[in-house]
Amino acid sequence: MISGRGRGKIRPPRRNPLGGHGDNDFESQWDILSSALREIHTKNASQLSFEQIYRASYKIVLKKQGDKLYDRVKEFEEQWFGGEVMPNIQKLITPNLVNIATGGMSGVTANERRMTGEEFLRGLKAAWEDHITTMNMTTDVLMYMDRVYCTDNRKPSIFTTSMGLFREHVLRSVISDSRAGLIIFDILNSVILDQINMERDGDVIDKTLIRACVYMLEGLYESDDENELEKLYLTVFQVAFLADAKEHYQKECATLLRESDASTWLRQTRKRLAEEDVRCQTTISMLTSEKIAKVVEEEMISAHLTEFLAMEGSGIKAMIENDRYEDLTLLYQLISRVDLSKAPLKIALQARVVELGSEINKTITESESAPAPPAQPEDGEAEAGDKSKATKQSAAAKQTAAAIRWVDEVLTLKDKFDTMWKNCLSEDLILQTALTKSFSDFINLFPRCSEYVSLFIDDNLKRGIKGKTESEIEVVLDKATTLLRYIQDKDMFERYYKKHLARRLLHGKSESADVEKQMISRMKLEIGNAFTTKLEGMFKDMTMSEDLTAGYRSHIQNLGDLDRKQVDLGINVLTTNYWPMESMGGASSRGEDGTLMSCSWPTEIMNLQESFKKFYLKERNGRKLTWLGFLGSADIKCVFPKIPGKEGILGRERRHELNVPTYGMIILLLFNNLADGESLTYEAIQQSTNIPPQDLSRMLFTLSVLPKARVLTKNPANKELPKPGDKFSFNASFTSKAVKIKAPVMVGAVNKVEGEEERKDTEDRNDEHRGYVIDTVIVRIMKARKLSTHQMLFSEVIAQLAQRFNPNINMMKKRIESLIEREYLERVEDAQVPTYKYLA
Amino acid sequence: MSSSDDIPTSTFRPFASRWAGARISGSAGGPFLTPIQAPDVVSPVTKRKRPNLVGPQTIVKVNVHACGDGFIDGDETHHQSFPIHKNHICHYSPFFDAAFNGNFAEGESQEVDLYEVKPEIFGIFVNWLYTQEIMSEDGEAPSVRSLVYLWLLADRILVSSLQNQAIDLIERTRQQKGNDRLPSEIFPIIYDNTNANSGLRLYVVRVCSAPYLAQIKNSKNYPPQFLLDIVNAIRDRSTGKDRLASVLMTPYHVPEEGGGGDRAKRLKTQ
Repeated sequence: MISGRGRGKIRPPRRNPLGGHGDNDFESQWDILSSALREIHTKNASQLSFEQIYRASYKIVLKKQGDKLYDRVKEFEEQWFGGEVMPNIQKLITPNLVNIATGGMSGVTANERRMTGEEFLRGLKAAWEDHITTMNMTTDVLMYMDRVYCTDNRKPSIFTTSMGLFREHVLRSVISDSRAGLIIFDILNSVILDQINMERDGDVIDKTLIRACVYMLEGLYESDDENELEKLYLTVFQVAFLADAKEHYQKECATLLRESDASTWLRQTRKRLAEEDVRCQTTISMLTSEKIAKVVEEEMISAHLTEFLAMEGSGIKAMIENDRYEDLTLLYQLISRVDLSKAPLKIALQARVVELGSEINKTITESESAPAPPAQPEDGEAEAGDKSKATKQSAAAKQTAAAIRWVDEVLTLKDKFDTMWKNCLSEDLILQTALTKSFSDFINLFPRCSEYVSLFIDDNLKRGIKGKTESEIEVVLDKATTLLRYIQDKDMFERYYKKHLARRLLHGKSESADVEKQMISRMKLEIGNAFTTKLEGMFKDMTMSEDLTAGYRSHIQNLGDLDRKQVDLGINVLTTNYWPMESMGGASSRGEDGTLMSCSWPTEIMNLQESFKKFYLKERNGRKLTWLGFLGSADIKCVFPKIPGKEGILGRERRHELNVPTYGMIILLLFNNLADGESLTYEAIQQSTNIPPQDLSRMLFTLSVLPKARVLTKNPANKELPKPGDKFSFNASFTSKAVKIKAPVMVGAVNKVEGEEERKDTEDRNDEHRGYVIDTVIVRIMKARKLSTHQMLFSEVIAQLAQRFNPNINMMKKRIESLIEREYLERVEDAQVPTYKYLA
Repeated sequence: MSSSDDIPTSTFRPFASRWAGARISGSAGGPFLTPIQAPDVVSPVTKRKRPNLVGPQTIVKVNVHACGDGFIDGDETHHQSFPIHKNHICHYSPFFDAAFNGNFAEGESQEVDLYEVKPEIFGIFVNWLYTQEIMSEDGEAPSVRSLVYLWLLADRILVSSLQNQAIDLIERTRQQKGNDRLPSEIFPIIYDNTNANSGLRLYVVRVCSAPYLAQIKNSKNYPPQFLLDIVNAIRDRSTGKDRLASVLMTPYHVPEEGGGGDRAKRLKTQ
């Protein structure tokens, strides 16, 4: 009750609105307030008049006694904590709780520990919530003091102060019977951590209760400045929590390393990460989620990553081996968390690719050399004799099959890693680059990769795509393109591809011109224009030749003299530069000096050639036509007269149509002019045909030894390769069930793996060619620069050639020597570093 | 005229101290030289919606007694009951917000007995609650004396924006009268019911320390502290030659905070 002096008339309050003097006034107002505070703290406020209490504090502040009021309220709270709050909390602290907090063993079961812990937390939570409720009411009552006194004097609001009091007088109060000077906060931390560890071990705990206590810590600060970074949660609890988690996961990971496999480890780690995240959401605070994730990542992933990856039977090797996609996916996700470059995974994957790739290389190399006879330089012999035919042919075919198998296996491996990359590695770009590099590495380690890839394409374009739909063909082409991308020595590949393509085209083996063109345009995209011009030229030649043949045919018909024994001509005009003559079988027809040796054509043929030449040059003046005897084939009608006195088949006249290579035709025409029973010697044939000896022997072998088209007899009659001194005559008693007979094919008609020598040849030729290319590049660079150091020149040359092949340093040195000799370049004498100068 | 719509409140700190900036400090002459304080940039400005009457609202009752607590006053004009929409009064006044929404007796009864307040002054406040305009019963501006009482009421029930409107109106009234003077009867009222740094005190000291003012008569209306403040103000002022034309009012305002804003900021139990 205030303002006790009675006044008859109401006047505005004058000098002493409190109606009293000094301290007495204060004390009487404070009495009202303190008893009200007590009621509030004991939750009995509903009978109090708010207006009255507020007015009491308002008046105290108006009387400039706000400081006194402020201090009294503080004092009141302190006493309240000491007298009413703390005794209850102290009661909840059992020796066990103290034991846990000091790190001693508690000697009780987890369940008991949980119960006592929860008791303590509940007590603390209740004290906190009471405090909040009370202080909200107290602050309402003291609002005028806060607004006027606290603001003017820059004091923290009474609410803030009371929060600080809670921190000092509850959380930081020393436990009565503690030896180590423990404070309540220590107990609180250790109880929460203990509970969390119980949960990590699979127990169920009261998350809401812990969350309430954490909420309290989030609402309290180190000082009354209430700096956001100094929440007690952050400065005290989180520190302890992270340290505890670190220790826990260190142990857990060590145990996993000792007792489990990588698969278990991956799953446990994922589980832990998820658990901790949920824990932050439900039990502690989201403020910690990133930090705890980091702790788990460090202790569970980074710490022993390499050991887990190397685990026998479950590590990364086994994961890749056994397509454990789930493991790999997990592994990728976990590693991505700790290492953006994913280095450990990258290294492991690369090693695995190279390892598996090398295995493929090795098995193919072994299976290739093992069953096949070591020396098989002349593939033309592959079909010698009925008996050896099966084994020998299969040996060659086996090699080709090996090439296809190599490609298939490489592609399978690629598919495997592609699938893995898509399914498990989130199509990670870093890993893709790494994988591509590894594939390229092991493929280029295989010396025959260029040849094999070309053979693979050859095989598919010949037979493989038969009956396939467009999209299936697309897949094959894709595969081929993929492989092509990996190959470093593009020039080698070009060489093989040209060779294989030439045979496909000339022998009409190509399944579809369309697909051929698609392949070319793909290569154009991958490697560039320069690479495919020659290939396109080959196609152009083929089309032109068709037109020419048709044109020539109608030209002959128009001449009208059909009575002659006209030889029908199908012609292929090949542009010298586009076609790989040597590898088409022309090698043997070159003399020592490299000039082309021409065979002697029979008259009939010469006439025909002349006639065509006239026709051809009519529209194309100045061109030179060279007839290549080693290519092409001829259909010959043969009549075998009946042999008198013989019965059966030999007693009749037999007509056959014989398809033989051009050389075969030339040889056989010689026998037309021979009387019955006469024979020709090897030398005679050689002389009159001028066929290169190697080709001649082979051709005669086909015609006089191999049974299928044995229209000649050889003397002596053995199965050896015809050689000078042998005699040949018409085999009048030749029989065959077929009317049309195709003479067994000579070398060059079928694309198959090269033999060792042939391969060496190819390489030599390629090296020779590279030499020219290097020359060109060096000269081009020097012409532009005039002066260049050795170092610069080399790196530039390598850079310019990278697209085609990886130039050999020694070869480059030799080329430079040779260019200096030929006076394109000279050395700069007194330069500090080796330097070259261009000589115009 | 400032509206209570733009109330800076700091929302992200559950226990933010209730006043972001300091109140006016320094001697009476000082504020003219002190630059206007920049608004506290730390506290984000959030708008509390002004209350309206579109939906049905709870009515609370305020019984206003001119006398002190425990007195019975026979004069009807000295104690009146005002039914008021709860959302309006609680929005503008943290005091009534705490009373009607707290756990005290008033929260239960939804009725507040307010002592030592003149009903006619409270009426001005009630009218302001709905209109944001200060006017007396006859529709005119209230007297300076009433405005001073209004300011003191607003101070007590913590309605800053009304305090500022009232003090602005006092200054305008002073200028309209053309004689630069404030009625001296308000000085003791002010000095009895405010603290040293209160904006109203500083304002009257400033006005009364201006040059070319008529002599002080009615000395009984000048509390000793007031005279002391005037003397100090005159002595402190270095550039005292200006005739007091108009007073820049910003330094005399109290920082405005919303009615329930103070309370809303505090931590509640979960």
